[in-house]
Amino acid sequence: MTAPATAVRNSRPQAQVEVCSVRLGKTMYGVPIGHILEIVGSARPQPVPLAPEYVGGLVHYRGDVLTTVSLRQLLGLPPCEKAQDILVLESEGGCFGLLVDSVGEVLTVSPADYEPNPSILERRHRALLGGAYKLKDNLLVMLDTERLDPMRLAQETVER
Amino acid sequence: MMNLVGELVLTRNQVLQATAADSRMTLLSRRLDMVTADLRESVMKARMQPVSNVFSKMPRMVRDLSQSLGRRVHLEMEGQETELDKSLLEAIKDPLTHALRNALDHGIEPPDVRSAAGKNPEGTVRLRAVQEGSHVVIEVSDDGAGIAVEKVRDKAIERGVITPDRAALLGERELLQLIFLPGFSTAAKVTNVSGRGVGMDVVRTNVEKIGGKVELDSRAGKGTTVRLRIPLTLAIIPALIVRSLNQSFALPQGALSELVHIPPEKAETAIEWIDSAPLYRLRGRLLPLVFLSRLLDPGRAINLAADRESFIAVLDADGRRFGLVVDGLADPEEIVVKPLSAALKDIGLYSGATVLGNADLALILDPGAIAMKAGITMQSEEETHAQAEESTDQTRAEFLLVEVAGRRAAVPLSDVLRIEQMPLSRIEYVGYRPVLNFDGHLLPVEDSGGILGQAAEAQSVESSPDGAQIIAVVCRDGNRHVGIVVSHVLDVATGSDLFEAGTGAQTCGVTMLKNRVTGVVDLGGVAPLAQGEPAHESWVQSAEVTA
Repeated sequence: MTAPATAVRNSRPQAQVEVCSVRLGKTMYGVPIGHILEIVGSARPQPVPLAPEYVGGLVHYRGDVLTTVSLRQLLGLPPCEKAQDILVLESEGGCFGLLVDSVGEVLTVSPADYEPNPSILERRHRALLGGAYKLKDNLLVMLDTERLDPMRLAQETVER
Repeated sequence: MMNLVGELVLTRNQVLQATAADSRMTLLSRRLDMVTADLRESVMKARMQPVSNVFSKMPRMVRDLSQSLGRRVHLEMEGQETELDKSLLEAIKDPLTHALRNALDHGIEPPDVRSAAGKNPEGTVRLRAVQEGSHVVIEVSDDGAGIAVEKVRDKAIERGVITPDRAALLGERELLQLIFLPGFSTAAKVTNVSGRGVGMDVVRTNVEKIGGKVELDSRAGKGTTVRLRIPLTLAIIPALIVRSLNQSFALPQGALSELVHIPPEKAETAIEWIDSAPLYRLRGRLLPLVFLSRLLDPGRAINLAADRESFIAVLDADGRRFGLVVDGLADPEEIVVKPLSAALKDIGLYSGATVLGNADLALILDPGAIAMKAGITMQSEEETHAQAEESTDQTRAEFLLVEVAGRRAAVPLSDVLRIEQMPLSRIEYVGYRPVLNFDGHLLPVEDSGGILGQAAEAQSVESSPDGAQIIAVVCRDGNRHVGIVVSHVLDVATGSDLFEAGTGAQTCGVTMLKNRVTGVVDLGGVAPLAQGEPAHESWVQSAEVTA
């Protein structure tokens, strides 16, 4: 199933799209800014023993305890040693954090540069990614934030 | 309450000012802490309401319903004074009403059916609230027909909830759980009371929303009991912070019965093994152990190196007793429970998370779930419990053994509030009666041994600078408190009642303690303070006397 990120789908008719870029290893990923509540810099989440692999741990966020999802773990990359940044994302069931290596700048991209997921993508990755924007020097791979929601991930693990 | 809030703000301001002068900081912050604790307590108290607020609406409902359903029902209510947080009380109203409706419609049979079955044509529904540790249990039980397990199974198969093969594998208890599934009703006919399929699943969802549990017990022909287990408060619980795997975890105090310290040199011998099951000898009984580090990290070997100390937290989770071995203990703290996301709740071991005073995060462990995961059953423990209870029941009670002017006396331990050592000057006199100003209350003091007089003499002879010290045992007698002056506190012992030879009649006022007959202090015999006596003059006099 090719599921382009919601923001992209909604704004298809020519409007420019604002995307926050994040780095993970060498790749640049993008998250539509509409879903981002806040960016928390250099946090060290508290690990949760026996938690599913994709859970990056818990962080204290504005008097609440926020569950984070490790993007590295989801994409099958080795864990990061240094402190990571957290994107606080809004989802149906509340908020969750997305652990990334570092947060870059907000880019304005045009829908004309959008391409859906290529068919050679791994199945697991295809579910998480929502196409890509062709930038001048590299690709901006869009993340499907709804699918990163830990509740959703938990359901999918059960189904599999 | 408002006073406390004002004080809190003032103290906070003081703290802000004192940040410059550092030495006073500790004192002030401690005070701030105290006031906050007081404030919290009053807020919590203000939120507590007796369950009678909800219960009181039930008799009318039962009467109306039983009339429209043609049942004869007698409603019994118990434990109405049990208190519960206001918001929780609101939340259980609907589930409780529903459970009661169920009991009337499905549980209690029509009078003719009941008489035919040899039962009293009038059915009984019992509504009972009781506090059990950190939970309040509310029970709705009826003496009706019970739930027909076969009916539940047939219905479940008919609705396609389970396959016949699977149903054959399920035990009675598991089959009963099926009625919590959405859209389930075994009522043959739909009435305007129940049977529409929006039943027990709503009860369960509502109760689980506030962190509670629903249990169901049913015996065909005997009746059904629905038990709602509600946490005492939503938000704040006292907890002990323990450390394992270099992380902090919170253990609810409600389940904690005691702590055992294993010093490093005893680490290897203290824990005994049967096969691969670790056990600890706690006062002669074997206590199953669970290693927290091993539980949370199954690949890990149990490391009982001789150079490390460890602690056993003895937990009692719904009748399951076990020891949780942790690497370290930190302070007890009052923690604010924050819910976990669904993905983490599914692990089952944690009931929430919290932010500690040092800004660390800690996961809150669920003792019941740990016991379940470790496979600790309640049966064997229950048996021993029952035995222990039997032997202590009736004939045995614990006493505080004291010495009053050379004679031994016993005070029922359950009545003892505090044992205080205090300077003689704390005792004041109303006329000739010694009284004690204790926590802002005036207590009559019993001094049968004349210890106060002796102490006063000794004081005048020795003229020691801090004055003579006396020991007072503050006891509860019904609703009032009394103080008893004693020479020494000797021990706590279990006493057994004595029976008069020949008649077998139980004796009063004496008990067998450490193989010696000991008199029990008659608290009721301590003369009450005169009511409405103008105490002013005598107070002034007493000040002169003691000075």
